Amino acid sequence: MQDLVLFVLLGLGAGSVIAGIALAVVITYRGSGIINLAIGAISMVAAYAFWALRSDFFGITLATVPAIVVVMLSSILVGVVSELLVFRPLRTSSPLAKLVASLGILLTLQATMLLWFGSASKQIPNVFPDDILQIFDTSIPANRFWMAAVVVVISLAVGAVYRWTRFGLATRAASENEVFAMLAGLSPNQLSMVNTLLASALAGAMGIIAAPLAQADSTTLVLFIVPALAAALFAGFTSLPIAVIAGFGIGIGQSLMFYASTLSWFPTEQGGNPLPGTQALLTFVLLVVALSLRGASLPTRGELVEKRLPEAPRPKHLARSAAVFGAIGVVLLVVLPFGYRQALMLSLIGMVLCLSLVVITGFVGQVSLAQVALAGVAGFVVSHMIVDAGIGFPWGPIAGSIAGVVVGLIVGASALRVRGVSLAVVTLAGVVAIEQFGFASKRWGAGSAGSPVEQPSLLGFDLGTTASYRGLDGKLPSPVLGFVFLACVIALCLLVAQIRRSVLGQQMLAVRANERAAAAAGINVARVKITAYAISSFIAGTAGWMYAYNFGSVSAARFGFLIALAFVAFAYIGGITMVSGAVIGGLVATEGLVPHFFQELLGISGNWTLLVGGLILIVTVIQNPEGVAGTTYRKRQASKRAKAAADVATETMARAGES
Amino acid sequence: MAGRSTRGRRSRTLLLAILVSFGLLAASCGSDDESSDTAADAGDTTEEPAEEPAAEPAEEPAEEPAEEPAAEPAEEPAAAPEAEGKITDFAAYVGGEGAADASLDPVKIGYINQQGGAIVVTDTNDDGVEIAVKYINEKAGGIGGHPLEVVTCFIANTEEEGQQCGQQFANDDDIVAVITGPTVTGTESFYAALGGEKPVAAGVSVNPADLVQDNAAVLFGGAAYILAPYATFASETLGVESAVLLYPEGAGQDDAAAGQSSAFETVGIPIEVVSYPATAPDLTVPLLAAGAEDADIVMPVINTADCVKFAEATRQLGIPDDKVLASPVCLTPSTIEGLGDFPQWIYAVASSLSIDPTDPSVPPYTDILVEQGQDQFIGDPWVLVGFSQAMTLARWLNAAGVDNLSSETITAEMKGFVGPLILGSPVLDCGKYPEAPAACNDNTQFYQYFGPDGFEQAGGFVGPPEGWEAP
Repeated sequence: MQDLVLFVLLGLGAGSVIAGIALAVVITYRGSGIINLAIGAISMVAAYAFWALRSDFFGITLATVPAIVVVMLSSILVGVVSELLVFRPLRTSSPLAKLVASLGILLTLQATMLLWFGSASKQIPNVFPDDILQIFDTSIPANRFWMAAVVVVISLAVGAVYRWTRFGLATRAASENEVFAMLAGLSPNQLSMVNTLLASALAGAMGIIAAPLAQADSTTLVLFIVPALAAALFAGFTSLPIAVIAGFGIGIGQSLMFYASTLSWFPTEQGGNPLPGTQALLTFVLLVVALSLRGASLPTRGELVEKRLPEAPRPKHLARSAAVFGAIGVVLLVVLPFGYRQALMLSLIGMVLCLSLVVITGFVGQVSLAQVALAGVAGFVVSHMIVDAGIGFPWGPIAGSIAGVVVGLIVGASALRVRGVSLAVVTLAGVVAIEQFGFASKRWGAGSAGSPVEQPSLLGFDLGTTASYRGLDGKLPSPVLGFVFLACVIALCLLVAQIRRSVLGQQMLAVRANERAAAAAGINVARVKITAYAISSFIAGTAGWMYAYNFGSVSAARFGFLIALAFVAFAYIGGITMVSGAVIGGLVATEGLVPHFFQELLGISGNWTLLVGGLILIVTVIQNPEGVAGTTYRKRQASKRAKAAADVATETMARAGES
Repeated sequence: MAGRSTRGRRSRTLLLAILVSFGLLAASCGSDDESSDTAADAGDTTEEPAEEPAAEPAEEPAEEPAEEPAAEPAEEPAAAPEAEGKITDFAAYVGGEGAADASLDPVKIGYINQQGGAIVVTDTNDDGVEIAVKYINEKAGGIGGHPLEVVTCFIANTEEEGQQCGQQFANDDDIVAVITGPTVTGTESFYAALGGEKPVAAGVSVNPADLVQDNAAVLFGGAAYILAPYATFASETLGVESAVLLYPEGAGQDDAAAGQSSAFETVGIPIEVVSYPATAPDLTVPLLAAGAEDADIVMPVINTADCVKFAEATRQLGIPDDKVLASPVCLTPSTIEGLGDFPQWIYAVASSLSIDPTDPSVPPYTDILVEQGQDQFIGDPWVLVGFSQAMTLARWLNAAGVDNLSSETITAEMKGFVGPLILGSPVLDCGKYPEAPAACNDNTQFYQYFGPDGFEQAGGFVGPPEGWEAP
């Protein structure tokens, strides 16, 4: 019992940071309807700034209090810039657009810190007393209690503001019914700005408060967003006290899991090491249970004024498009130099992943971030089938895709009662759990060494990267594997296009538009969703084995949550409701054809790539809220209509002249 | 409508301008990552270790020099003069003398490392390689008279970059072999893309993928094989009766932790093993869960990025420094940057310490650094590792013969090389572990760091415990 109490107390440290960041997430959402992934990144900036101001990095050293003031103002400035330049232009865009834009902010801030301060972590100066308390004969740093106390006080103060001030009432009014709030004379933009400032200040404070247990580096505080989102989701993105309690709860739960891992009954790996990823798994399971019990009664902030996802036009000229795409693809695979050839192959894989998002998100409106994890499931199945059972191509990919479908159906079934950005958060937690508990485990994943994947062959014919046919330059990788990928991409694009044109596609769009109306029209909403998850998972699984054969190995890091977020961004930029959007998304995917071209042309690499990528992501989302494909389609349609109108006018005038 | 459209276009243009300006501002205010992490940082960090001996990476095991004189393979160049199993004549070690003939076609080798991105184990390993190559070309006769040339490729952040580097080297027929720095990301895809086409000389392995390659040689150790000797040292020298081991999940340390803990079990020392999510910020909780306060010894099996937070955690819990037994991954400039100095732990060091004047192979090495104007790197363990890697690879190339260089001939020299390793172990045994064909070294010595008083040897070279088998 003493040990349990001890580890509950120890969990207050991490719990306080999670609670504080969760509070900032909820405040942002209540004020503007935005799930801001960059909250942790603002804490990171604050941590770096505090270190720099206290360590003469800028040529001056400030005392603690002035440094805190400057850091808080800096954090607020970051919030103002984000609000004005990024979120305000996207105010009427879909929640997914705002999510993607916040990812762009995260990447931009991360890259800026790396370029400014380098990759070495800095020890944030501690602002709390460094005393050690003896509790149950165990030394516990007193600063953990200070952290918890400060966060509780801040939470109470923030709660009081929202409870008893006009600003707080206005925010609550707008979050409950934005239209009536506007009619009452409240300005959503002003409310959003003030809430964003408050959230940014809070995030900045967390960057300083976290000093006893975190460093100023590019990942530690940034990644607090994952458990913070979970805490915010427990609170329904509305309740400040529940978000704080849930944050502390997650921190305490993690601490108790450390304790549990030392007990004899705790499951171990083959080498005797504790089973990895149990903390992430626990968080995910609790989330699913809580949401399943609560159901779909979540507020959708600003839904009356936000635009829906972009339209999903009916694809045309499928045969012609497939033929042209195939011909161009074959020619490029043969003639491109090997670096570009590899980049094209990576783009083809990216197109498949983006296609899976077109189905599940673009057609059905399910913001699922699990696609990358489903790809990983397939990739690991392929590897294990080869390594453990000697079964290779094509049975390995078939089994991999089926495994992806099975896991995808489990995700789909558990997500039936969850929707919108809540689904995004749950699936994000799922991605983390699958990566840490599944892929990183030696038992059913790859462990830390990665798992090898033998190159594919069929009837003695080498289909892999080392096949004898080498393209025009005679170098690796062989275009043969690229031909296989190209065939898969064309087949899947045709499949998705046909789905869109079918009755099922119509039903998917109906569900996306309004689930209740679709149900009232006789559509079995659950069946449509499950079918979409199955199709999308199959497609994602295909991408998984493509990755496996491309790299010749699979590793846990390949399918992490930042990669998952990145692919949502690529798909959104390309056009998440269109097959052509998936093609564009693949072209701009990490180390795909377009980034590779710019790297070769401009010599951009490393952290500069991260910075440029983040900025381009933000600009593209704002400039093309429907994605590049969607904007192109809309302009083409507008041009056609204008031309048709001009033709009609000309004909009318001609007739008038004759008469 | 037209007015709103015009205002919208102007707003978007302004946004674009502001964001581009921000990017330029970030660029101008930031230090170039490479330059700040290489020249400046190396200068800042290695100057300090020059006064306070820095331990070499522990992945370079070495046996008792006096007991096991180095064996020279029959086909290799004439035996290099040694003192107690230490190489002192570097040119003879390489197998040549004088300057290479610059008019001859160069012999090319590839070099890959992880740097320029968010994760950097070391960005000075390549400096060691360059220093060695310059020495080889100016003083050791090159490769059969031909100058040696290095083609570099770096992994910044992504697995795709590892694949690109592997393809670049595989596709370049002029590249005969590859040297790797410690890579965390993209290691698997690098080897898969290289496809076994070129032999690889690794120094310190921080990714288990290095150890399972048939045509690679990890000269200074990796994973369980270099951590198992900790148990021998703990048992025979320190006399501990309990131990704690902490490692990050899924970060390439799982096998190492499993091997190390099994070694402690072999010698009968109870060991508590606790893992933590690689992204976990607070290590006080897992340390307490493992009973670190009461254990006789605490061992972090961590990556470089976790050194600062581990040191902070032990400090906050009041765990004395001399209870910590660590690998030299924390003896890096980034640790000094984060903590102000190296923690005063006991470090397993599988190579020479470049600030240890009692080591006969150190003065020739430091002389070379001084002569080349690179004395700021004295004390940097990664420079020493890179130097040794390049010198040893050159030895193999010379032994194979410049007119007979192929993957097969070089690999044969590599696998047949039994030491002494320059600035490393007197004896190597590649292939000792069938499951890890690239693990060539499993011996290490131990030094304790005393801050301003520098390093002091705490224990000589030892190997894994008797009867230990890697799990």
